[in-house]
Amino acid sequence: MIRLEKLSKTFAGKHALRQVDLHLPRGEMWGLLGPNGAGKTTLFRILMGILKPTSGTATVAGLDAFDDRLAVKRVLGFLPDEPTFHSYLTGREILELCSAMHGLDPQRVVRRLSPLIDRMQLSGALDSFAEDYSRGMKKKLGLLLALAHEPELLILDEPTNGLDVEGTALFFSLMREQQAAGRTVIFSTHLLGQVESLCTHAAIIHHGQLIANGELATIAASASIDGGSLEQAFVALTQSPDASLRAGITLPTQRP
Amino acid sequence: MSTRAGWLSVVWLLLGVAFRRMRARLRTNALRSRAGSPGLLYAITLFGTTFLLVMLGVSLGAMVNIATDITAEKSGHYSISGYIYEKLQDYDVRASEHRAFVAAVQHAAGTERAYSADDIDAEDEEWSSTVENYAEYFEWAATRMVRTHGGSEAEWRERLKAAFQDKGAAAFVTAPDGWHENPSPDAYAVLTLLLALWWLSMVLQGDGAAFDTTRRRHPMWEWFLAFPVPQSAVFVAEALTPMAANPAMLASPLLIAILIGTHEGSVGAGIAGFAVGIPLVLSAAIAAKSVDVLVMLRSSARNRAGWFVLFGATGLLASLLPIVLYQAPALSRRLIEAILPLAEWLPSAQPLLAAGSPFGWARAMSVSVLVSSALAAPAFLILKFAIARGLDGSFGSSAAVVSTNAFRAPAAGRMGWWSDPLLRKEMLWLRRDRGALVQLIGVPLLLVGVQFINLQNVLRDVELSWNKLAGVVVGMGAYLLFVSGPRALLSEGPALALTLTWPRSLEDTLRTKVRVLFAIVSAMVEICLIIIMWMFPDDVAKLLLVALGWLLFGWSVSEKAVTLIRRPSQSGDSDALPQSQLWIASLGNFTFAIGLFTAQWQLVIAAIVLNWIFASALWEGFRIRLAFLFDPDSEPAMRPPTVLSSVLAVVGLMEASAVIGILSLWAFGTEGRLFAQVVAYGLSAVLVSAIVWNWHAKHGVSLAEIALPKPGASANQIGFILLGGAIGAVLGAAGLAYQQWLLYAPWPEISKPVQQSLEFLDRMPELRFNYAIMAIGIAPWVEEFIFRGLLFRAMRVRWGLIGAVLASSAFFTLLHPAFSWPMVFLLGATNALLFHRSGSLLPCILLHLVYNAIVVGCRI
Repeated sequence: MIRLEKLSKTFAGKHALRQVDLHLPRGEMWGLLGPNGAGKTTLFRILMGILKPTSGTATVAGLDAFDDRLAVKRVLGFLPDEPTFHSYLTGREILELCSAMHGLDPQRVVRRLSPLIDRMQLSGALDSFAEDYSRGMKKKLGLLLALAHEPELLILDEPTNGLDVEGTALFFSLMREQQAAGRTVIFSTHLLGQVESLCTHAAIIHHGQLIANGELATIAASASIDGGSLEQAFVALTQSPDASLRAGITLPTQRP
Repeated sequence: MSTRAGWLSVVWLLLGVAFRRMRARLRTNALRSRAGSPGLLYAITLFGTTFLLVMLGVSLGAMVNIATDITAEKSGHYSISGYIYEKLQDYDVRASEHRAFVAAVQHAAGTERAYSADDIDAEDEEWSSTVENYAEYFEWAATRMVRTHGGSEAEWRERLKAAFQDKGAAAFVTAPDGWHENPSPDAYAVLTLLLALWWLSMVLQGDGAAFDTTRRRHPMWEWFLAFPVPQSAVFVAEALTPMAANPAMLASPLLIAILIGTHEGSVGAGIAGFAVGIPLVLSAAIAAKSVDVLVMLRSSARNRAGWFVLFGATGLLASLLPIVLYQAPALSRRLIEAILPLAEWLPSAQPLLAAGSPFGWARAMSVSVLVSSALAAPAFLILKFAIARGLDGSFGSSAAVVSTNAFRAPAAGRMGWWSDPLLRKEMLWLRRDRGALVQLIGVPLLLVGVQFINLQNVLRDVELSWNKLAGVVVGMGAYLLFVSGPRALLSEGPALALTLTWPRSLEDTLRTKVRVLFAIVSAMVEICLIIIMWMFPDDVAKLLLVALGWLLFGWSVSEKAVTLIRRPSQSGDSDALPQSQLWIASLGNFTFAIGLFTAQWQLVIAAIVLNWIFASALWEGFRIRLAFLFDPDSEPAMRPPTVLSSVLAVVGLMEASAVIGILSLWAFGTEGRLFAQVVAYGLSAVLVSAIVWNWHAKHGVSLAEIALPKPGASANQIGFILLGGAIGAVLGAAGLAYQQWLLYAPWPEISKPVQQSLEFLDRMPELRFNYAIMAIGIAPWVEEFIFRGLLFRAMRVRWGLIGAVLASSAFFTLLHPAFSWPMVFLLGATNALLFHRSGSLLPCILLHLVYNAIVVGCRI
């Protein structure tokens, strides 16, 4: 679904991503782990066609992420870390607008999503202006927008940031449902527990480099000295990435 | 154990915060405008504010004088300058002396006391020179009257003379340099009204007029009240913040000081008068804060910024109004005449200004404190109530709206433009966001108003004609588009990120915004044009053409303006624009207006075509840049020739020949005007070609690449060159026939100039020789290089063959005299096609050369 080959991105001589090779197969849920400033958001912006890779290629569903950026947006749903909306539109209107922009019938999309809107407890607020929403409500509306056109690929940037316990649980089950429906889900987080509870695969990115990638068990086993948890592996890998890379811990990019 | 912070120190601290906020804003402006150090900007702000207040003081004084004059005129007196008044008094004395002399002469005639002829002659001579001077005084007085009252000089001269003959110098009062010695009671009442306007302008300005519709203000009381400080201190500090945050308000007591100082004619009184102004400004600050808080309570966060900008702009205009009126005394007089009937209901400002003596000062101070308390009390109550409600959490929030079903499903097949969700989104923005009206209409109109003030000296003496009025309207329309276009993306605000998730390009979003902007500005322009049609019913047909021309022209100006868009940052500001880009985009913006104003119709047509070409030249680069709006580092450099670089080469050629033309006119004199043109064109053509050639070489494009076919191209080059020569001969013959037809055309406005220029050439054979050198030796080479080699080639990539042939030929045609347009267009189009087929410039050069040789060299 996503294929990155020797992907690098520099901003004014500063490396945000270096030589990232990654292949995410269809129908999987992957966690993208990394400390703040590791390059997760830059990677997402490249996949969205907002940034052009300095070198290497990024393809989504066989389409070049930059050159075919409009086509890519038909297969991709994106939830940003801080969703932003037009202040003069209500939640419903924003949902209708986004559906219409995808060339869909807005009323039909709202009808399709209405069970989900109810589960999110958003139906009461749907006719209020989105600028008055709380952070959690904005996140929920953002997820509705990402799902409006039933995309094959969901990219969620820190999806549970700002959500309460109930909301987080709802998002988790929604993400699992999406995967069960055959869609590919990739989400970024710095909470390791989320990755462990949601997916079997993860990629760890640090200082713009992909330092680990593959099944969780393999990452944990190969990186930590005592054969311990993912958390220990993460700390070991991010604290001395050069050492771990030299020790040959780079993991296979293809699933076995 | 902590001690509670003192009441005064809390107020002082919070006002200090507001003051620093103002300084930070100035610093941001300094950084953004690259005006240099913030220190310099403080100095400029301080100087500017002081200057404006002094101007305001002078203007208010002038208004009082006008009001006094009007009162005097009601009792049949005219106000004239002191100098002339003295002269007229002298004349009165002299006239009575003369009358006495004449009477004495008559009385003494025939007696031994009879006057000698010499004495009578001397007196007669002296008297007639006095009468001559007397006429001159009335000239001067009439000139002044026209400035202050309007009307014609002759009319005023007669009226003043009549008044003088009727009553002598007693018919006049002197207009003072400063204040009138005795302003009329009505004048003081008018001043009260003007001071009220000034006070209101401060209230509306609040924290300072900022034209940023995206700025959101949130009250900080909750945060302040979270500290263990006296709550009343927070409340009072909050009420006074506008005074600390707005430099204009902080300096405002100076106005009262200036008024008192000039009224009393004493610097000391002025300095003491400063204190009289302080209570008034404090009450304005409190009132401003209450307005601020009311907006906060009543209006949703979305609309707040819009209201604040609207209030701020209105306040600024209101404070500048007297200064503007001061520049237009006749208009001020009419306005004051209109408000004078109110005077008897208004209190006099005299007690506030007569503060020269200690008693007077005490009285003025008491008046100021009393009035200010009366004004501040309701504001204070509103503020207290509002803050209490605000702290309850009742800030304005957006009321729920009934779902509008604004966005519809795309119909089968293509979506109609009216159901495009992007357009519907803009419509909802216009309907619901107060900031939209301010941003799209309010701020641009304010800027137009400022431009009008700048232009008033130019426009004052213009006699009204349909084309001049239409020129001004069209110029202002272009200006409106040009200042609003680059701000188009700002209305998206942070939601711009959402638009990037849609499978439609940012270009669609922008184009929709341009359409809305164009529709609004065009509506304003067309309404103004309809008013002009109503004023000049005989010229309706021509004005209809202008209205149509505006739609073509305005559209391309709005397209140009939108290419100046920058990426908005999180705060809603956008990066500064490179000057060069601004300069290129503004080329030709006012050509339409200038053409109309000066009645040069050729220029009007040129403006429309030029702007279309400029707009597409700018869009060629802009479309590429837009994809890199958030990633400018990755933006690829475009390989020349681009439409923009080619258009710039053409404009460079025009400008260079204009400049060299003026220089050679100076060298050869007006006699050799045509010769000068030839020399200028030749020199600039060689110069510009060399620069353009060199520039392309630097960007890795060789001359051979531009002028010759690709290596290995199979076309028969010799054949094409022969074909070029043959077509040149045919076109040349057609050109001669066309020239002949023009000579005998039934329209003298066309045939006459052609006749004249041909006769001129016949008279000066050496000029014909120069002409031939230019037409054969320079023009074909340079023009083919620039128009076909660069412009046509660049346009072909973007516009396809037909579009490129038409547009490049149209551009080529415009640079030639209007009577030769049909033939030049034919030549341009033929050469573009020839270049397209052969890939080589040589056949085109030969065609152009043969054509020119025949047309310039042969004479039927």
